[in-house]
Order: sequence, then structure tokens, then C-alpha cells
Amino acid sequence: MPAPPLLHGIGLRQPHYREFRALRPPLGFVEVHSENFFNPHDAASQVLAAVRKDYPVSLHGVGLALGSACGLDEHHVRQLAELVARIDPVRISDHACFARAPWGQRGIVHAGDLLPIAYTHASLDILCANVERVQDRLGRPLLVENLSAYLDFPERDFSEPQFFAELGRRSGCGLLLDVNNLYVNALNAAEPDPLQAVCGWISELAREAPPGLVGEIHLAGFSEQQGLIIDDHSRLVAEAVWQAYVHALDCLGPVSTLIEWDEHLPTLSVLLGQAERAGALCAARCETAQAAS
Amino acid sequence: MSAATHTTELERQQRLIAAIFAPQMEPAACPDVLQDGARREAGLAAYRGNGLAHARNALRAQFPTVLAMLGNDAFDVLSARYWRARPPRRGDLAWVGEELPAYIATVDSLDAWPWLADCARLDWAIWQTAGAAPPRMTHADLQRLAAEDPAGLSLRLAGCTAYIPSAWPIVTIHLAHQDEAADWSMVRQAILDGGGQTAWVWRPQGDAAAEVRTIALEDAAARWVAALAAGESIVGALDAAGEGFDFAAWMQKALAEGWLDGVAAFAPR
Amino acid sequence: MDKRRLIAATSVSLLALGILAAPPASRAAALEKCFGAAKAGENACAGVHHCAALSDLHGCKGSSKVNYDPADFRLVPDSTCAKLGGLDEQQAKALLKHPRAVHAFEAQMQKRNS
Repeated sequence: MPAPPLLHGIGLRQPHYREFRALRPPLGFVEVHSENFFNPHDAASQVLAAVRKDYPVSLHGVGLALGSACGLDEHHVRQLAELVARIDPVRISDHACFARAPWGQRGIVHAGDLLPIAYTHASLDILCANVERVQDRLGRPLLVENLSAYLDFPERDFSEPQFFAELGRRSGCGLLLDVNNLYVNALNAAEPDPLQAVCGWISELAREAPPGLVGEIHLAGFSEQQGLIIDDHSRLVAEAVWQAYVHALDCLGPVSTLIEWDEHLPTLSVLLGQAERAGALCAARCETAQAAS
Repeated sequence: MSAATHTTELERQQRLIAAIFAPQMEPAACPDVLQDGARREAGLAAYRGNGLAHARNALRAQFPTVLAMLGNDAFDVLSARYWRARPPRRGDLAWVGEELPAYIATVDSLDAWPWLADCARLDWAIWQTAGAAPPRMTHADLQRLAAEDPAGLSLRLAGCTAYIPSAWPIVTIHLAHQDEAADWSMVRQAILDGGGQTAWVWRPQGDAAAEVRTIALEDAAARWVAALAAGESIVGALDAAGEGFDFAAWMQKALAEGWLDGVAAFAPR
Repeated sequence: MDKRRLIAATSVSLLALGILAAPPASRAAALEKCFGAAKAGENACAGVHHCAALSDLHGCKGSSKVNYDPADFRLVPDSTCAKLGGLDEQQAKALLKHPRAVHAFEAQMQKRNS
């Protein structure tokens, strides 16, 4: 029986470049933030081009602001398209958020963060139009990630899983399922049993979504600040999030999985250890699936 | 989608953006959200804090000399005020500092350091140059220069170069920040002696791995470069440079370092 | 020498030198330098980055200092601004016009203060 493909990856961050290059660890993919590599002439782009020779690269955007009612920044879309042409990524993703809006005399401004959208029909229309525009430009589907949101709007025509299922059906995009974001939201909503709330979310998605909707999973750590749980990717993945991840694999089957770590970066070996744990859980599901067939 | 519901979403988003960039925490300005009281303020603060932190971290990378001059605390205050006064227009943080030099010139509490804005211009030029395209000068350009009447030709400066004229000794100030043993009384003397400097910035051959270089141009070279940047013909630029400018030496260095994109037909303005 | 002849002669000799045909520095060595560049934020000296273009500017994480909003604090330059000392309004104005006069003024002030 052939070894199952590696499904786990890490977010490659600058302080790890040198060690990563020396080690070349076995990984299914590496992920980077697209915007950090928009400039084809700088040193970072040379690094990414070299890494791409050894690994599939997943491009994870933070700035498209796909949910913005005022539309997308053409310059941003073009730079992404050029990066995609250079790197030929295995996946391309961004978030189900807005960030751009008109602001007085200044015109359209960008908040530099992932701001929440309302789960309404109108929001879905906006998101669909923007996602389709990017997909048309890139000639390939996007993955759109669920947010950790610090504010929520009362108007709501869909549950969040229904919203992403509908988005996928209409635009042809996939979902980048961030399990940690679900858990952060459950904690911030003061759910009596946050793990159960997250597992319920995932089960609902599995019921509602077209098969194969989830193209990638993100796992990360969070921290608490002044009563609010902040998704700062600063720690080990919480044990409850691992449990929810196992539930997700049970519901969805094996999915490429990324460990995101951005703040208080650990040593590369700690990061790889987290990724290997995800990889082992995926591999176990792959073997089960093979044995069953 | 109906225009009315689209407008509802647009207005909702505009209100949240306005609350985030508002000068004071104004929860009343926030659109209707499920959260209220302290929890709502904490949510707003999280979004402001995130956007500001992303911008500030980028500004620190883009303006290392300004950061070193102001110190961390003052730089944080400057970043926060700038972010609020000139919210980013793009989602690519590589551009977040574009208006900081001009903004610094408007900040009253920095009046005692009138060279700061030009030092920021130099930082920005270095940042831009580090990511600029390599020079495109070719043999064909050089052959054209040898064969054609130079009154009808101009030299195009490469994108991986920049020049910043200043009424202040910005290169002396900049280089002192690269030198752990800098003698600050000498730098102050250079300021009091008056006389500005024109900074010349380039990334050798546009090589991504090369460090950006910064020097102060002699007066004649400064006039030459200014004339080239203004699109003068080569003969016109030599006239502008005047006595004391060594064209042959400059050209040799320009080709070795990659200062030129090529030769173009001179188009008088 | 006539400007036209100077330009033509310079171009001919640069063509002969073959500077533009010089091979670029080893790509591999340059690449390793990109990987090995100092960490973003790691100081080469006095806060100046070695390789600013390598900074990871973007992330989708939240910040760890959510309630920190320094915009309303006083802006008091420290660090090398303090070491350099500022100028008062008159000095700054005069320096832009008559550097020598300000120099004399400063020397006078120093004498008075010492």
C-alpha cells in the first residue's frame, strides 16, 4: 500500500527561512501570506521562488477584503494574479471579511484587519460577486476562510455554515475552515460548552455543504486579553481545538492542514511538531478510508 | 441584488470603518452589533489595535532611521496619529508609509527637528529601492549613445536608484545611524554649518540580495542627476552640471552599479 | 573637449571595457544571502535593518496589544533626536537662509551658557 500523501504544512515565516532551507523537512506544503510576496524584485520573492522548487505553496491572502460592499482594489487583484502566475500555487485563499469602505474626503480606505460581515443575502451577493471576479481573473477557484469575529451583526439570514455552503454552491469557491477561529468565536460568545458549539458548527457544515467544499484547514493558538479572546496565532494549538479538528476529520475526511504561528514565533522544531501531529491524525483517517474501500 | 440591501451593507461597513478610525472611542458611532457596553468597546478596540499594529510594524521596517531618531515610544505615537489622519488606501502594507514623510512635516511637536521629514523621505527611498526592478541598460543603448547626437538623447535613471535633495545634511544624519560610534556633536555641527545634501540611493545592479547604498552627491553631480531626472537631454544635463563634473567617471560607475535604464529620445517639455 | 565628442568617446570606451557584459554575481550565493539575511527587526546597527525588504509585513493574526492606542499621548522625540538636539523656530528659519549667522548665534549661546 503506498504511503498516504503528506497533508500537513506550516506557515513559513522570515525568522525560520535559514533553518528551514537547511532542514528541508517533509511537509505536504508551505503557506505564506500573498501580500508579502507581491513585489517580484525583492529578496523575499527570491526566497519563495526557491522554496517553491521543493514544496507546493499555498498562497494565503489577508488584504483582498472579499466582503467589501464597495468592491475590490483592482491593483491588489492584479498583483495577486501576477504572483499566482509566478508561483503556480497549490491553493489560493483569503478571508470572508471586509476591510475597504469609503471614508469621507479620503475616499476608500483599508482598515488593515479582517472586519466582520453580516450573514445576510446582500452580504452573500457582495461576497459572491467579488469572489467570482477574482476567480475569473485567476482562472481558478479560491478558498474563503471563516473569521474570528470580535463583533457580530444582529441581522442574519443564514447560519455561518449555511452561508459558506451557499457561497460555495453559487461561486464555486471552497472553504478554508479555520477550526481555531470557530473556537475563539465560541469562547467570545461565552458558549456554555465551546467545544460542543464548534463540533455542532462543523457537523452542520458537513450536512449543508457540497462535497469537497473544505479545501484546507487552519489550526492555531490564541490568547486572552482583557476578557476578549484574540486570535493572535501566538501559542500551541489548544487541546480543545485538536479535539474539534478530530471531529472535523471525522465529518469531512482527510484535509490539507496548516499550523499558523505568527506572534511569539517558536523554534522551527516546535512548529513542525504541531504540524506532524496534524499530519498523523490525517494519515490515520487516510488509512481508515483505504481499509474501508 | 437589490440596490437597497446593497446600500444597507455599504452603510453598515462605512459606519464600522468610521468607528475604527474615529479620533476617540465613540461606541455610539458603531453600527448595530450584538455586543454592547464594555464587550462592544473591547471588540472595537481589537479591530483598531490590529489595524494599527499591522501598520506600525510595517512603518518600523520602512522608516528605521526615523524610528532610531524618535525612539520607540514617540514612533508609536507618530504611527498611531498618522494611521488615523491618513488611513491606508491599500491593503498592501508595503505602501503604508507612502505619506508619512509629508505627514511628519505637518506635526507641530516635531518642529524642532526640521530635517525629520527629509530623513523620512530618504528612508522611504531606500525602502522603495530595495524592491525596485533591476536596471535595463543594454549594449544597444551604449551603441546609440556612441553613434547619435546626444542633444537628441536623454539618459533614463533606473528604478533601483533615487535622489533626495534636502536643505539639511540628511546623508550625514543617516550614516551616523549606521555607526555605533557616531559622534552626535559632529552631526549637530554639520546641521549648524548649514548647507543641505542631495542623497543618492541605489541597489547595486538591482540585485535582490544586495544592500542599498546611500551617498551624498557633490554639487555638480547633484545638478547632473536632477537634470536627468527632469528629462533633460544629455547635453542639457551636462550644461546644468557645469564645471567639475566628470562625465566619463560617472558613466563608468553608473554602468558598474546599475544606475541607468537606458537611452531615450529627448523630448523637450 | 566638445561635449558631443566627450559623450561619444566615453561610450566607445565603455563599450570596449565591456562593463555591461560582465557576468552577474553568482545567483546561488545571492540566494543564500536572501535566506540568511538578518531577521526582520534585527538591528544591523541603531535600528537600521539589514534587509528591510525581507520583513513579514502581513499577517492575518490579531495583535497582542489590543487596547493600546497611543495616538493621544504626547509626542516627545527621544533617542538620537535628543542626542542631536533640536532647533528653535528662529534657528531653523535662519539656518535655511543664513547658516553662518546661525552658527555664530549658536556659538554665542554656548558661550553664554558655559
